[in-house]
Amino acid sequence: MRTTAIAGLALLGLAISAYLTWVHYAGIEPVCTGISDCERVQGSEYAELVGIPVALLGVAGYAALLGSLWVRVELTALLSYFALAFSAYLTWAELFRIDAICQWCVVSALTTLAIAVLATLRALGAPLHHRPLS
Amino acid sequence: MGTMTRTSMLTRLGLLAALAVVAVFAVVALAGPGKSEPARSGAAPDSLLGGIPQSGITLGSPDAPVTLVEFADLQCPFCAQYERDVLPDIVRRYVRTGKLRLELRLLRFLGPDSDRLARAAAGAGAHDRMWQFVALAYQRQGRENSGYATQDFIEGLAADAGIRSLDAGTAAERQVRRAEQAARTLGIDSTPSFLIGRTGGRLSTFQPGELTPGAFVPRIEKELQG
Repeated sequence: MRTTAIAGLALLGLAISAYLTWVHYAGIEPVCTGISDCERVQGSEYAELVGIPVALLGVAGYAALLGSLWVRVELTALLSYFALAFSAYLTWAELFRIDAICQWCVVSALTTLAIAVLATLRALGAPLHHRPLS
Repeated sequence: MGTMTRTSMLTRLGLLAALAVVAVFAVVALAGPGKSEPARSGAAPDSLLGGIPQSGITLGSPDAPVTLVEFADLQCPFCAQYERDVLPDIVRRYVRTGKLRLELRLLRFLGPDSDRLARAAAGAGAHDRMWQFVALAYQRQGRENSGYATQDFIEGLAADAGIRSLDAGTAAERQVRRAEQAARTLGIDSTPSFLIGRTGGRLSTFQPGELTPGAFVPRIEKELQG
């Protein structure tokens, strides 16, 4: 059940990151709600880390999370903590450095939070069931 | 599975979480942007401009196929908006990759602060540090015609742009006059105004619908294909 939920959330994250990666390379503006300013976030220097768009890092991260579901519960947990820590950093940058928020990033940050919680519960619960994929 | 195992798993997860936090912190501290400019808004100009060829008023490779010229006034708030919202993206995507070269022609129609800043920026161009100087001037832009561009203010900009002695004398004045002359010829009466075209060819005026990278990218792409 938790595995399915993590897989679903990881797919959601993957879809968002893939969309933002496409937007980044196509040089177009992401679809954005009224209160957010995606263009500013996407165009900021925080949109890349050592030349790699963070959206592309998101694609890699969510794909790795998805793949880890077939490996060890601890690996999924570790990857989810990486994702959560990185999301926390990006959210901090949005709020305190860029002074703009993008709703895609908020959804992605909440997704990583949910995945981290579920991955923790899954790791704690897993030995009781001995099921690699439930 | 007993309590012991669950507790040890909890410990293990705690360690993994700590590892993740430390690793992400280390990566962004070492490789993340804006690390050298602490309290001020905006990043240190060199994090954007470092390593890109610069000559006088030009930023980017002289062999870049497309040229984008901007007419600006350093007191103009929309020019500051362009610098903040559009330029970083354009520089990373096109200038750093050698596809686009930028020229900045500074005007001074807003008032005496504009005049002092434009001449000082031209002086910075003699050291090939004009773009750093301009980036800082926009970051610290004051209220229009409040007299904020004092000698001290300008010297501060120059020092932070890495220029030891700034000469805003006759050569600088000549350069600003050339920009004004070009603006008059082209009928440019507002800033920021843009010209774009193949490098060395005829440039045409370009009016972006808004000051976002999305408004510039299609036009740059079109010129690159043309």
